[in-house]
Amino acid sequence: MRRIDQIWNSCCDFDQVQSTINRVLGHLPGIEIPNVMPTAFPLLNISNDEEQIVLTAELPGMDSENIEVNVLKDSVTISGKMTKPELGEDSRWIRKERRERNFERTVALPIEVDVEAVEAVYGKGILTIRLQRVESEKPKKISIQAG
Amino acid sequence: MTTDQVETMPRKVLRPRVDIAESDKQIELWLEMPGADEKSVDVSFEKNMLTIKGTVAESCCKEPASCCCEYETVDYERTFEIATEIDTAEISATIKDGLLHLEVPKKIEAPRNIVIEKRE
Repeated sequence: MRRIDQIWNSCCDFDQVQSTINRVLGHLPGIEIPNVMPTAFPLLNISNDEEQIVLTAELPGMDSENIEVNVLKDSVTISGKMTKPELGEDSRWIRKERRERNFERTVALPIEVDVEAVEAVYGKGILTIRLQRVESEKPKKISIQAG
Repeated sequence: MTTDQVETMPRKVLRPRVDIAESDKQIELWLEMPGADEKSVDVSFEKNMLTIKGTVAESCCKEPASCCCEYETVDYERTFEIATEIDTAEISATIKDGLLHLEVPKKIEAPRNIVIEKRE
């Protein structure tokens, strides 16, 4: 039986392989490294409990004013633009791996949420969105009576 | 995957994405390390090698049983070989919103005139 740490995580190891290929090709003159984007951006982690759904997304180096979060009762849309700093007149780019693009991603929610009770926080490059379940979506404990 | 298994798994270490710009006076680097801050990033320079390490304190998924993860929490490490002579005392590093910005000034030597002496 394999140890759990030997299980290959395809997402992160493909990222390592891509980085290695970029590094090798980057040493060849005249090679432009294409900015290969994942199909969906940003990648999201979603967790839920009896009270809320929490979404997190990695968006490093962004101005929070350039991030937009729109919530409907059954979906969340995250959009924005990632930009790069302006260089001085005598500076030139010699390597560009970071994304510079507009993005928009909509995620359907499995339950209905209260659109008036949404909290979105951006810190350390991570966007965290907390959505509260509407009352009808909260689990209710059923008491069992002796028959 | 249980919470215990998540906590005992060795965390992956990835190379952060980087943008590099160069001018006559300095080299600038921007490295993406979401989740890292000024307390968890280490920058060192030795024998022409610039090494950046960053750790992330919080895991993106505390309760794996109720979590759908498209990305996992990782730590970061990357090393660059700097071919140019630099002024190591003047390297500056700032981090904001998971983006580390390094300014590495080049060492500029003033031109020196060599005096030629006549040999008797």
